[in-house]
Amino acid sequence: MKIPYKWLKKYVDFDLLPQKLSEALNVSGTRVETVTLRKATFNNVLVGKILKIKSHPNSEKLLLCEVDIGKEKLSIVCGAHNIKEGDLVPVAVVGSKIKNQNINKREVKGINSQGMLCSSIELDLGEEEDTILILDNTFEIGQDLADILEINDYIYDLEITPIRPDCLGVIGIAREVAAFSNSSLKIPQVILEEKGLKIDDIVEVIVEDKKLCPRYSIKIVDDIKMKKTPLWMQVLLKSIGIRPINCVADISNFVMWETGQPLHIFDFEKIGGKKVVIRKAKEGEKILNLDGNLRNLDSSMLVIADKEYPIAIAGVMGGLESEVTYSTKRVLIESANFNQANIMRTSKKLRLRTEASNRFEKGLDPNSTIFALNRCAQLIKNYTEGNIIKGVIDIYLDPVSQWSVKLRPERANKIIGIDIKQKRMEEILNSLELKVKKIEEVSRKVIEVQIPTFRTDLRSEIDLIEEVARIHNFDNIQAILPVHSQKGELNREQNIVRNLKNVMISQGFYEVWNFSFDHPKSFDLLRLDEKDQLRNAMELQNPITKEHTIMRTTLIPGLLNTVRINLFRGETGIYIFELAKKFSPKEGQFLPDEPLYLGVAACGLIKQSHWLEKAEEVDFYLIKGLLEKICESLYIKDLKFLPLSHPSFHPGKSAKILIGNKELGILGQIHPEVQNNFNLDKPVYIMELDCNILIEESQKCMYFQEIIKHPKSAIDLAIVVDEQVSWSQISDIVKEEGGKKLEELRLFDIYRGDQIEKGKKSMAFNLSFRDPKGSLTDREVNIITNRIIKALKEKISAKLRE
Amino acid sequence: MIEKGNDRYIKDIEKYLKDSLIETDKASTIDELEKIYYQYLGRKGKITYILRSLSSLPKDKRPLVGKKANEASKRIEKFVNEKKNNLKKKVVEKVLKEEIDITLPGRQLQLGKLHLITKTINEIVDIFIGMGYKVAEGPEVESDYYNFEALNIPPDHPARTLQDTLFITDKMPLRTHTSPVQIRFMERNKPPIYIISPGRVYRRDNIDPTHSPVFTQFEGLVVDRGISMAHLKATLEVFAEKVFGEGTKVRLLPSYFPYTEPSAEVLVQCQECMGKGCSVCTRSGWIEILGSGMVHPYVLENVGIDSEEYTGFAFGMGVERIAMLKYKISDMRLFFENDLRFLKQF
Repeated sequence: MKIPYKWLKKYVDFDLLPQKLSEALNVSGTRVETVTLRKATFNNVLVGKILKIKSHPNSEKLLLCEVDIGKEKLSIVCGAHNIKEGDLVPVAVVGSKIKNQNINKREVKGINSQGMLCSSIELDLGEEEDTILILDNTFEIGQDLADILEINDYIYDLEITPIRPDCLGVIGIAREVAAFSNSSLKIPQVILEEKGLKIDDIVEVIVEDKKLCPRYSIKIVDDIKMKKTPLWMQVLLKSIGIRPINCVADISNFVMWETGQPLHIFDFEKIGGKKVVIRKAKEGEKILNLDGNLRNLDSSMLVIADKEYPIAIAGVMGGLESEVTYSTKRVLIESANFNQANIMRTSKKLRLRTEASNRFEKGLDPNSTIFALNRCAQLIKNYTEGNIIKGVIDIYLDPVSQWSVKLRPERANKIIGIDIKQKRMEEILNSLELKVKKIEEVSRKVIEVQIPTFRTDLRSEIDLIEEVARIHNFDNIQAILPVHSQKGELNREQNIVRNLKNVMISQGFYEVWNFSFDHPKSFDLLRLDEKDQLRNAMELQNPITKEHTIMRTTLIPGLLNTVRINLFRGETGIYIFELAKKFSPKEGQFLPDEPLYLGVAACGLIKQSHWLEKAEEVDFYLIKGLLEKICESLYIKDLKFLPLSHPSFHPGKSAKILIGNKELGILGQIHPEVQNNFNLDKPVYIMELDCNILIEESQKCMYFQEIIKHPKSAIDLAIVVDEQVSWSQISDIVKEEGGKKLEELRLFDIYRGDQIEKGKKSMAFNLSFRDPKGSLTDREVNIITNRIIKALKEKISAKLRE
Repeated sequence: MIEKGNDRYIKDIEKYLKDSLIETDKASTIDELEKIYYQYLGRKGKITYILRSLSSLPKDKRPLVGKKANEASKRIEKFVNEKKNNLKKKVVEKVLKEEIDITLPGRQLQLGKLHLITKTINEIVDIFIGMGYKVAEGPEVESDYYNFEALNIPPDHPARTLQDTLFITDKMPLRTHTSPVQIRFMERNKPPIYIISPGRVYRRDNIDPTHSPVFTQFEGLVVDRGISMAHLKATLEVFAEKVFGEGTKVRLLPSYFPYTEPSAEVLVQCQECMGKGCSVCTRSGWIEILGSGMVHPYVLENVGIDSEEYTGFAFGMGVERIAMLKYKISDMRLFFENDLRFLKQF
């Protein structure tokens, strides 16, 4: 809500300079978003009267004018011909500036010109044709035009909270200023001179839906002569962001801005049957609005209709056909109160928000229609030489009267955390026009406060406590920390999640945050079957963009896209993870499940080439090693890896991960087609883990394992086995036979090549033994080793390699 | 039984001594010396063997053989040790001659980084844990009831036009704040309540430098006996000092939120100009960082907490906004773009 400083001053007698006003508004709860200093694009332009007009002796096109500017008479050459003797015109005297151009004494075709007569375009006062601006007779000779029009001013842009529609008018803001600055309010006097016909004889008003239209008030002004809107009003409207249209429309906007009450003005002659009906729209009805758009209405919307057709969407926008034009003679002014929720819904449905709907949808005071109506009628009469027709039609069946709210000063102090004296509270309330009546209630001090109807937001004690607190100033509250005995902590899950992230970064991975949205095309890119469960995603009803239409059911597309962006930007090694929720709808459950997942992606070089080391590419085992570290940190043992059959993964290089019989997640190289689908020029390794399983399986309590002091014995073995034999087969046998004394088994080499049979591979590993009871002898170690070798030979036909 | 004669023993000792001294002299590594020592003086060493066999000698011969063997043992040991020390010294001298180019690039162990949002959340969480708060979490897809109605925002309330909401269905919005978590927590727990709730929230905003349809909020809630705005103010002062540095000033200005009353916007002193006024703070010297207020009695009563007995305060802030101010980041899109050059910085 924009409001010029000088305009505000007309309604309240405060003496705060612009900077201080800004501060005071902020402190009392009216947020000042910006303050802009508006300056006229001219200076030293004075009001002058044309005394004489002669033709220029040396040019037929030019005129020579004698102009009175009060302190002197000037001779000015002028090219425009719309002036006549006696006209008041803006005169840019010698030494003035117009749009950064200096006006100097100059010679025009042999004659001295002592200044310039100005057009509205030159002065930025309108968009009319390039003729001299003729000023009306409210101006006086010698006045400085910028001063008299109050162009140089501070424009405040205020943020008004949705529960204070009373502050969507200058008078409402003035009331606030009066309260915090202890000054008096100056509300304009409205004195109506009415004559001629009686309104009841001219028009009939029927309110069909009284719930949606609690009050409907109208007046009619007759015999109007459409004129130019007074310059000061044009200046004012432009400063608050409203385009001047015509005198009548401008006045209605001006009064709305002044009072906060939206008004609508109809050309009375265009109201069919001289009948105004406030009713719900009929299905299929249409209206051509003032903005030139044809809108379809439905039966939930309230309209103002004549005997047949809608002529306005109530509280939102008028119709083009009943618009006031320059030929309008008689106008009907509407000042009404409409149901807040209905206006909000209509405006939302039509996607049409106007200054009027913005006010009505916040719930206005029905008692404010008449003042605005009369003020508007008076101004229209004044500026159009019209006649106000006698009487008013005011349909208001269920008048709202003031209510009262009780306030316990002690309670107020307890909530604010301050000690404000009761007398001060009463002062504050009174300054806000909240009338205080003191009453005793069972030995407790209670103040009863009478609430004026424009304060629709004050309904309960806490509302009054807020009023006291804000006017008293929050800065006066002394800060004190609460004293309590609650223990601050992360719970087990939160701790595990935090640790999990720390393990990830300790392994060199970067955390990413992707949007929670996705698009079904991602499922195609992932090669998912038509019936794949992941396709069962929640759809957004009102997505913002075409790319973000569903809630994600997998973290993989987000990770792959992040990899692509980074590859594209020149990264050679990308190792990232995201810990976030997936969204899966569940039968028989209103809200979806939101399981927490850990997604990991790695691509490119895990090690850059270095003067000491060769570059290393990311592979399956890197991610597997990461998983092992994660599990180690959570004390999870017994991971199992089974071949994975998943459309998004390389069938030969992926695994399903199990802990016991619980499926922890999947891991592997993405399918080469998926790689192509996501425009990735390098293979990407992905892992996705169910964090709930990690949390469930992580050991809650760990006990100390005795540290064996006896020396360890180590031995290397190399065996040759068939290519099909997996490491887990070998390690299972070794562990089984090695028993408790086998401390560690470490594979250190795999060899395929000339030195061994084709279709076979050599696996070399290191075995460490340790005995808690004492030092192991060579003989003991040999016995165990032989047992292992024998079992390997028998079970997987392994041959010992020399 | 002893098979060899006494003289033979003496001769053997002399031979061993001589041999060992020659071998030691030749030895060029510590390992060789260890072997020599073991060969003569170890558990199964040659001299050790003789010493162990003394008891089988005639009594009158024992002292002489014993004496000789002990002498030999001492000499060998001494000689081996001297040689060992010499060798060690040489090794040290040799190692000391090595020299490297200390300006060559170092070998890197990998170190990842937490996302700045996580880092900021952790930082704020820790501040509040220190003040006795617990962390509460809840669903991101919410019901209208928890996201709006229970927070004193009934259907058609004008506050519903304040922010644009993303919906799954009319009655199922994506949460627009983490306040529903507070409602859920209050339904299950009795006061005293001291909780914080960080998490993702959603708004129907287009992505631009200061808006994002997905962002992260951090809210706090206290419900206890005798809680007042003075407590709110002090709590936020602690928060601001910990996040933005010692002495950071905080200011509360009246505002409006449906679920708190009185409500306050919270401003901190602009870090760029230290309150003098600059372009960052639009010349005011203050920057708005969060919303707060006293929990509305309606909200408390609605979850079955007696609002006469208990009062409370709540506050909420955008995590990205805090990080942007703290690290001087001007574009919110960076948080969700995940460019590694951004991620590596924090």
